Amino acid sequence: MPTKITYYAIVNEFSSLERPGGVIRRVIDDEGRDDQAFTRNLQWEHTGTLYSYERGDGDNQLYEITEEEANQIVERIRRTVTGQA
Amino acid sequence: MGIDRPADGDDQPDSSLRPEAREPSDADVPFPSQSPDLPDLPDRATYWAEYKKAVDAEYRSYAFDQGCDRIRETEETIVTPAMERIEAEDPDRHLVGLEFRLKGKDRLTEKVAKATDEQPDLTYKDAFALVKDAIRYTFQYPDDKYAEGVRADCDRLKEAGFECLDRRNSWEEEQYKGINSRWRVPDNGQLFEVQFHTEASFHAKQETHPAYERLRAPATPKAEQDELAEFQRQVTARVPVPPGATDVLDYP
Repeated sequence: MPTKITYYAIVNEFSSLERPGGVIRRVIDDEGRDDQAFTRNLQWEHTGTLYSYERGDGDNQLYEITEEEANQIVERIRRTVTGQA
Repeated sequence: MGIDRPADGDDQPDSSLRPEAREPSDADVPFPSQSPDLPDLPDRATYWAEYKKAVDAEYRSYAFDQGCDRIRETEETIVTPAMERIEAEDPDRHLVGLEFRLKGKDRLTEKVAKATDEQPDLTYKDAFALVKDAIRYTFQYPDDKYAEGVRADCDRLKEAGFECLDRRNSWEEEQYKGINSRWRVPDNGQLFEVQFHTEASFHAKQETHPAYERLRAPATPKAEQDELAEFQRQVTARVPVPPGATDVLDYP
């Protein structure tokens, strides 16, 4: 099975669709599935945020986005964390 | 190391330390060069960073406890009494799982930490404010009273003075069935969640909860995540959709 990656923007009252607070991806491949967020550790790490959202959790809204949009959020997080924002 | 407390010994929290107040800034931390016991450079930079980290952690712990106390007080004095009054208005349905109305501190801590990890722009204060289900309730209805009952109870919540933030209908979803809504207490802005279930959807939620906890855990292997998600889907698929449930609109 080819790897399928779906990206989501994290949006809430402290962020917006234009400037999402974070980014999540769901990776599905031959091994199974994993949800990952790009964190302040500047790497993709497992997250339960998407699973929570799917069970009705309302802390954030998650919007499916393109890989390019996801990369832009990743770069912004890099700049924020490294102080180059 | 401790955080300054009110000098008069008053039990009232120091307003500057509540989560909704400011977080500590560099100005709160004495510069290491002011202390005679400091190590020589270049260890001073490390010392300063570690010291600030410790102060931040202490602040967060104290602010977190203060926030939890405020949540508990709001739950006890405002929200639960109102929910019980609302429950008494209709004998056809009732509140279930009331003993779980307060989210545990461990899970609250996990949520706040996750939010600040995944959204680096968020302050600790903002991340704490993001948690909308620190107080939560569940109404359970007979299938044939569900749709009408949800609308009536939303109206009752508004009449009680609570402001509806959002309502999300998940009856057409694969992993979860029900309607979850978030509300604001006007007096102090505290948020709480109200879930609307049938007996079958509430049972499915409870039955799949251990799987959900495994899905959230960082060490769960990818293959197991697949199996757990499939288990949730199968359990959820067995839940009958009550008449009119999918017509209850999302808000906003």
